[in-house]
Amino acid sequence: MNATADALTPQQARARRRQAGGRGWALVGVLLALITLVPVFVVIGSFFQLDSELWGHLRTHLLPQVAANTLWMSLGVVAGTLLLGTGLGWLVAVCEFPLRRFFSIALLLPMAVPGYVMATAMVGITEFDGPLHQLLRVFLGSDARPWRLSGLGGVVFALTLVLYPYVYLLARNAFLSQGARSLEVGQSLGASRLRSFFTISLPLARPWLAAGALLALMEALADFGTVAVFNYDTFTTAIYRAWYGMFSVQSALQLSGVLILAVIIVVIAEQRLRGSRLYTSLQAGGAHDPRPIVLRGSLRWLATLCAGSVFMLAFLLPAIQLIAWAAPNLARDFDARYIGFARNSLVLAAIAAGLVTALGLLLAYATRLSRPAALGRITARWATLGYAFPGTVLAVGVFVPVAAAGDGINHLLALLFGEQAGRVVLTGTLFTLLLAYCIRFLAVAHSPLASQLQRITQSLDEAARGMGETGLGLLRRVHLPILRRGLLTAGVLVFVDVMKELPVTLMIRPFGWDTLATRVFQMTAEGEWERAALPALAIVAVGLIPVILLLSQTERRNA
Amino acid sequence: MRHAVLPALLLALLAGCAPAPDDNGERIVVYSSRVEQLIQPIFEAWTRETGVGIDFITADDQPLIQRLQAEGASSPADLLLTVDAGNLWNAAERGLLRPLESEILDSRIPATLRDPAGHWFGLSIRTRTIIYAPDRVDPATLDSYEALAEPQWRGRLCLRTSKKVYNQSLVAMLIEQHGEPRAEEIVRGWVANLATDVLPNDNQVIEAVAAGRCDVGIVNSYYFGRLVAQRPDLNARLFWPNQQAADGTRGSGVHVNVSGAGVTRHAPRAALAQQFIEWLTSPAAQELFAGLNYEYPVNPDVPLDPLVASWGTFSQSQVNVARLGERQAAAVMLMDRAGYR
Amino acid sequence: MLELDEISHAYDSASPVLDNVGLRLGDGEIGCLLGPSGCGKTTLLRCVAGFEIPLRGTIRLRGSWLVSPELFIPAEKRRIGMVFQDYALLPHLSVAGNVMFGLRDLARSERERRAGEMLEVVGLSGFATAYPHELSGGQQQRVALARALAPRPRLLLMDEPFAHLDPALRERLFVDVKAILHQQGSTVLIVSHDPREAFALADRLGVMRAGSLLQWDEPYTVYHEPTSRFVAEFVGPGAWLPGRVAGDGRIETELGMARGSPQHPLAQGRPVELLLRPEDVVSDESSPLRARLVERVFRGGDFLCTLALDSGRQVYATLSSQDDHDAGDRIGIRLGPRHLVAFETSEP
Repeated sequence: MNATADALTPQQARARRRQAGGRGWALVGVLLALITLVPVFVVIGSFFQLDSELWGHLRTHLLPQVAANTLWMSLGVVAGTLLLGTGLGWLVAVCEFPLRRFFSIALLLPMAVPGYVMATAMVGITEFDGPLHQLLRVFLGSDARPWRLSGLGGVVFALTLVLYPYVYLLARNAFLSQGARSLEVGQSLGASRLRSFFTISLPLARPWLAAGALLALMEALADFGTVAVFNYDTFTTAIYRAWYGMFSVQSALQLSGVLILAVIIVVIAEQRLRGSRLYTSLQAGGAHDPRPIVLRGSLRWLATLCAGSVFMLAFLLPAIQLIAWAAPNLARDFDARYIGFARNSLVLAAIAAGLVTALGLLLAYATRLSRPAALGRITARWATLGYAFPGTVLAVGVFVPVAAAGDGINHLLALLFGEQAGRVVLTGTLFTLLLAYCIRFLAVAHSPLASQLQRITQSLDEAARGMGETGLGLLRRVHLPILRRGLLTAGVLVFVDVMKELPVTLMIRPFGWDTLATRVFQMTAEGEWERAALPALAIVAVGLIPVILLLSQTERRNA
Repeated sequence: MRHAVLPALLLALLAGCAPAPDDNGERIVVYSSRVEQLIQPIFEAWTRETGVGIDFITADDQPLIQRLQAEGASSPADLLLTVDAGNLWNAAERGLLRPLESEILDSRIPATLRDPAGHWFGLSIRTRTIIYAPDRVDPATLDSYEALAEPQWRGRLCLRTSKKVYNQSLVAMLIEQHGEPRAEEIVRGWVANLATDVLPNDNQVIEAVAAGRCDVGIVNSYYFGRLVAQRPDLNARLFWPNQQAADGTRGSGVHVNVSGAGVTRHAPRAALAQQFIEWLTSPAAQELFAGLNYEYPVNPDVPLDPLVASWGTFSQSQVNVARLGERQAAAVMLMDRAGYR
Repeated sequence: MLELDEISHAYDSASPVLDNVGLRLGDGEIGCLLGPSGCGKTTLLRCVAGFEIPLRGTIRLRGSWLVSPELFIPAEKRRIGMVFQDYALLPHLSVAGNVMFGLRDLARSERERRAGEMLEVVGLSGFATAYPHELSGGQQQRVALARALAPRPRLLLMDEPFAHLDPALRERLFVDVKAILHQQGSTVLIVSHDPREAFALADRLGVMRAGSLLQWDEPYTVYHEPTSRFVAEFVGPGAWLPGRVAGDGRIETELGMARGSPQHPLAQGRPVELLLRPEDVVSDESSPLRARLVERVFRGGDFLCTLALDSGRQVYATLSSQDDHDAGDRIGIRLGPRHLVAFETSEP
């Protein structure tokens, strides 16, 4: 043994160590992927019980329509969120205009509005006797053509307004770290700012934009509430029809499998198209960090107007509509229990945010350090699929195996210790709920962390090692400060997502863990939309406070 | 550091939040798809009367049933409470409910409103009926669900989406009464008569009728009750269809579904749960249960809410609601074929 | 000709970054702005580039206005090339893609031809399809140069172009880059904090401090006839030795009479301080003047020596590397300046 060890040059020894460490990380990645793949296994298992009659029916009468609808919705939402998120992200990150700092945070707020709430508020605003038409009648006379937000247009509109913050947040981070340097390069080569934006800034931000748009896409694909409000049938509609209408949970799982497959294809296609190019940013070097573009004249007010109108449409208007609905019911519905609902929501969201962010970080590192590297990339892809599941299907996909595992453990305990052995109850505990959150939201935490981790170059690692920092010290003193923005982004995204999450919480929550979101369900399940406005507003309000606090802190550091 | 904290945290949660609370007083556990504000007052009344507490969670029917099934023998649930018969039928089909023998229940609940095998029992009646705009429709021209498929209603009918179980069980009833081919004809007739794309919920159907976008619609009566309680001058009236057949004999009756309950197969406190269901059919509980939501009590001896009573009396469908669950999948497929979204 | 007049700029009103700067740079000349960090030289460069809008002042290039009170030509319309300090190569484009980026007005084939030509000029013909991260620092620098020169800019700006390169490579690149720039006939304005870089490259040299351009002249003049102590100190090492003006071209010091042409007229009899550069102090064993060798630093060709005079003052001298004195030895020295750089004791 010694002889071979002696024969190794230091480089060989280091390479060996790295390889061994890489295998360890690959194992971590695979383990994480296995946990998050539990619902996928349930889906795969479901294909052993194919109901051919039902599938025949679906294929003829339902799938062609919903597949086309889903495609249009996906294209619309991806285009819409990319347009709004990229444009606003760039404006806020690179340009200087009145109220920029306010909008930099305010434009994130629509994220806290659940899609179905946004949709309902929009329908309320554009209803025949709603405020918009009353206004139109004032200006255009009583025979103004009734116009209604509905169908595809309504779905894309509402989903874009609640989902663009995913793209915005990641795009803003990407553009912030690019600074104005990319524009200056273009300008020094004779390209206008506009052309520089399209040929330099945008391509450089591509991994971030793609990650944001993918999150928006997966959320849109998994959405059921918003499409239901606009009565637009998508793939999830077919899933719930098979399950709730025809009592076939197997078919629902199988349909989800098809949906997941589509997402996998999109992800692979995007990565293929991206090729092997590197997207590290242009370093903005030295003391003369490029300053933001200071917009002048009418341009600056145009920027304020753009940001302002999105903020108004996506947040102010729906908030006002919700307040108008909630006010009359305040006396009847608002009571001390709301403190409990809010606390439950906060506790769940906070624990889940911490947990999922930690797992996301772990996954990001596993992806980065895995040897062979291809294995790392594959695990990352698989481990983040949970986000594409419709919530209820995911809940079943987690709950059923956990219950089975509990049974298994109990059988084992009984075998080992006899009937007197204690019983483990996993279902109906926070453990199961948090597990489901982790599986569902890992993608949300992983995206910003993985893209931020790309910023840490090999040479930076080596420089830190050279100064004697390794392992946890390296993580704490070098990586975490650099990853700070990514960690915050991940935590905030997960926090807000859990705050507004409904189907998983609804099915898996333990007794007494009613949240603001389940409160919304209590009202909407019997069609009492106006009474649902109060808990919906509470979600927005309670969810926003930490978001604003956290973000204003990052803003200050970046200013 | 992280590696150590994570499992520790998970273990702490696991240990800290394990099984259902079990205080000194007796408690039963209810899984309910009937929402909190429609059950909690009743639960409180029961606890006041008997000292037995109730833990419950609310969620959609199918996830609840799935949860019950997955939990199997470990399930803490004693009672499954739903807002339609179809899901109760499905739960019984999956062997998740236990049959009860109770003279009290058999005597208080009409036979069509409970499972023939005794797995579950209707607790309140939800009628799905016709709504019309009195300024544009003469109620004499209204007759039955089937008649709404006739050409005279072309462009005048509003329907809620077929995604909702209420419409699925209505069509299931039509299949039960007429067979699939005729039922499909009727549904196609409805679709042809639609004034506007199908609407997402019953409220919007009522609003559409009141606002003049259409003249007739099909809704659950309690939605109308809720709206009318807020806006007494609402331009819409209920009509009870299928009261008289063409030959003058008694008609097939108004379509009814039930909100009902069954005791779970593995209920740890089955006897107590049965007592609770029996109590729910007592006049006082019935009045509260139905009255909370302008529904009709299943117990025919119980007085109606004044607003509900003002809609008059009617004869209801004699099809056993269990048959609706059985036919539901077929009904959904039929609506798909007929283009009823 | 690049003409800058009365350029002033400030990021906030309290502290001016540029204060009334003016300079002329002839066509085909290489100008270099030298100064410590924070002196405003990069800001001046960015004003010329069009990335900053100066608060006051005018900029003219080849007779056409770039900045005047009525006019501001945006950066992309100025046809001014720029080599950034960090090169700012576009990581998502290949080397050829980077070089072709500024050639969008040309036909595809013409663009490729021009990019090939430029890569050949900078000696990177074989790297057209490589991506920037696959190149060494020196190669990246040359790609940045090729990219900036490809559109035939009317003026090329370089911001600390050699700052990230190791010294050996740097010295070689000075020669290469100067040859390329002269061959291309480019007018160039370079910003640097390294006098050696400036002397190696510049036809015109300026020294800046705290937003002011202290001097703008030929490098030889700036070195030998600095107009201020700051310039004198910044462009090269030296020691100040007190003396008294003994007459035209003569200054009496403790090392004897220094003779030479003064950089500006000095009044007879005034106390002055004379700048002694290392090459002004010559080793001469026959000289009666002796100084103790305190320290010597080997620089390859010669030693830079610190010498202590009898008064305790220290001066620098360069000694040939064949010299075998050790620290502590007393060495015979004499003064040999041809240029007298002296300021009255009261002068700044």
